[in-house]
Amino acid sequence: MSSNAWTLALAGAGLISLPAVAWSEEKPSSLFTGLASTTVSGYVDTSAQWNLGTGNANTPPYAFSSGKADGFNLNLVKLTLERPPDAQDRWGTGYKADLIFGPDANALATQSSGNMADVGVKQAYVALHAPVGNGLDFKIGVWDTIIGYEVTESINNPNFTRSYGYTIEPPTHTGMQAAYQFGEALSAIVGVADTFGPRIDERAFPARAESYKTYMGSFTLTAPKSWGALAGATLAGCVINGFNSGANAGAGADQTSWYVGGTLNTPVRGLKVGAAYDYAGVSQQPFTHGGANYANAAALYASYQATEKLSVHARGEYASSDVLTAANTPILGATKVVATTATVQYDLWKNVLSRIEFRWDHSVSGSPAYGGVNPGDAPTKKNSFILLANVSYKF
Amino acid sequence: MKYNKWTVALAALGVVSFASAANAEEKTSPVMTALSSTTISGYVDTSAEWNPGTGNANSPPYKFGGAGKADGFNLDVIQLRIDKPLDEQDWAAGYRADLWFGPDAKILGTDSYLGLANFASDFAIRQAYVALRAPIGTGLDLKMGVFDSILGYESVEAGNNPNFTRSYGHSIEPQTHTGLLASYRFCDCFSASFGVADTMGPSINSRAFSAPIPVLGLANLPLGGNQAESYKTYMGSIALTAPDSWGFLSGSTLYGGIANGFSGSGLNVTVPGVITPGANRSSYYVGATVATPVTGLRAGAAFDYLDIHSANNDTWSLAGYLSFQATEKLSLHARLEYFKDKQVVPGPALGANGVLFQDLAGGTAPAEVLSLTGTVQYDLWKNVISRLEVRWDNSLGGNNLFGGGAPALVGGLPVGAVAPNAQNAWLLALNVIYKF
Repeated sequence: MSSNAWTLALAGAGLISLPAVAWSEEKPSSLFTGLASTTVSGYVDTSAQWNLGTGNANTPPYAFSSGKADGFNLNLVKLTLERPPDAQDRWGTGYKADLIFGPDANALATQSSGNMADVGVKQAYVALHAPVGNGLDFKIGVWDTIIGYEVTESINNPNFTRSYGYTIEPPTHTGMQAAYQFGEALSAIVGVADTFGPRIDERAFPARAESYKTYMGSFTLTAPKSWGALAGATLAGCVINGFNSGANAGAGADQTSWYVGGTLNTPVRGLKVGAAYDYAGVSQQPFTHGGANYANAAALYASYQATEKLSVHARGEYASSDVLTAANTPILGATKVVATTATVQYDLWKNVLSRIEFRWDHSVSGSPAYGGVNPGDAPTKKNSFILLANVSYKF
Repeated sequence: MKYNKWTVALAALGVVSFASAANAEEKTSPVMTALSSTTISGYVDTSAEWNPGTGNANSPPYKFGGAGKADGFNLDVIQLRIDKPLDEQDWAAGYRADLWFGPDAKILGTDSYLGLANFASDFAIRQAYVALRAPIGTGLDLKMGVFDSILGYESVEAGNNPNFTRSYGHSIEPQTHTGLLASYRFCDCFSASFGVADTMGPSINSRAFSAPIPVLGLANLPLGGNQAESYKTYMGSIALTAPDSWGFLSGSTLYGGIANGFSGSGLNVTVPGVITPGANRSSYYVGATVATPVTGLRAGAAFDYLDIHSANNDTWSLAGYLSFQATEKLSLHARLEYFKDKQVVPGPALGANGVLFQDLAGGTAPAEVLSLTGTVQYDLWKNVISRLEVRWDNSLGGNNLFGGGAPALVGGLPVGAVAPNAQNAWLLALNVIYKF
């Protein structure tokens, strides 16, 4: 697969992900609409999960895990309508609408009503290109967050289950962002949004002033081709500050989130490694009556492409937090958690991602974090073991 | 219209329906996506109903009917299907996503949050699965995700049924499962399916064991059943198809299926805050379609039985079908059904006396109903199903099951139940469906 300079630049800036591009056919054809260049794509994501042992009242609370223990699951159906800006057009325009259906759409919780629904909008924005310098790219509307190593689409992550780092990040924002490619090695994004999200069109007022918005910025450094085995390695950093209605046990508070992460090619053919550090902090402020709390997570990743069809992926993560849920339980299950995930992916069918994953979560805070038979039961175990199969079709 | 071998085999298994294949345009245009073999199709289903007489409080409780559709115009459902069927390859892969919009989506009740009344919406996922084929023997077809039940004569898709209104048999069958389904065709005459799922459905990802479900404003509700975590729903079916050598009977089918598992709990919509516990149940189905020597005449029969393990119920249906294709555009369809619905529920029963017939005003007698439906379909417009239907439901037990005036209003909202006051219910319906 050959990617053009813009694709590489946008991928480097986190605007698109290379796995997504690599999965599709080289030249997508257009949908019959008023604008012939609109394309439709998406995926159907399913899984089957076995939580070893008895008792699912308290399961590891990583993102999109709720209600999926010990059974078959439909995770998500995603439908994308898109027309990217033409890179050759100085004033190029386009749009993207990611419509999501199924239990994960309910879990993502972008519904503007705040109500539960198995349908949601993940992204919906107008894309504009302005011929400023190397070209300035705008997104106006609802878009994926610019922070983080993992993404909302499980099929674009090395592992099926999400990290705690992803879990403490905001997933989407409503606002405007601008991306700029300074050169092959450096790109940056700045943005302003209503809130941390994910609720679409959410406002920070009346808790804050009407002018109070969420601001964010990120940069990505990409190792040039002249760096030999390290060519293509990336280092990214991001910060977001604003009002998060989900913070402070759902009462809302100002929050700052930080992220630093990178991917590194190695001299071993097919072996890539990565690292990510996420921090979410709520400082002392009137919303918290002078209190402060935090959550952070550090993770290491390794991926090895053994053959054309077979790849193995590993993730080790340490996370800690003093944040409590509305039910007064630790937001990560325990105040300190170690999680290890191993995934074997074998692409037996065309366009189908099929993988088996084993995940071990361990409470290192000294207190049980998992187990308990009936809802409301206190945790009884310090370890959680999950074995699952994930099958997704991408179109 | 020609069908390939796989279509015939899959139709025999109930994986696809001939009606669906026949109604779609001969050559579906592929939707231009990243993968050119994806297609988008669907239909818009509308109807108008006149229920002669006054009082709709207790309309016949067949699925997708009821007081909400009586005496008025209705949007029933819009279905949008995005799919890529399995092709003939050994390791073929495909998928299907059936998305429903409209009032019937709410009735479908597949919401992963158990269709809690406060949050029920006019959107639902009917099916969403990945389809895979493994080259074992003649080919083992797998579906993983959310798929239609393998039981039953009728479909949730009105346009695939001979009549617009559904039978009571269809109304007591399981409808949707989340799980894994395997189908195998032993030969042209014999095929079988076997599946395992979370529950009898229809709520997506529901569990038979008690699990905390996060509900906005209501914290973690202990929804789910009281079974072990390993307790799953199992289902199986067989289909026999008469070979070409059987003369006029060629293509006739005999189908049998069974499903056993836990049917989910949920919030009781009548008594706020009360969680109905759910129960294990078994559903049985035997059905047949028979070609006749009379050109254009086909007959069918269906038997549905529902056994709710904890409820000492007696709920079953027996239906006969006749369809006659008079001309290319004109067809006539008739259905005669006997339905018995009796249930003794342990503990406070809220006056319920049946699975479908629930007299919330306090009645206790079982329901025994004879239902006769006649449908005239004339395909005047291309891609449009247009049909006129008359339906008569009669209480055979002599007790009132239908009718009842408007409930009292408090603050503009209906409050309380209204007792039935009629033994007969009549319906005249016009159904117009556009398939794209």
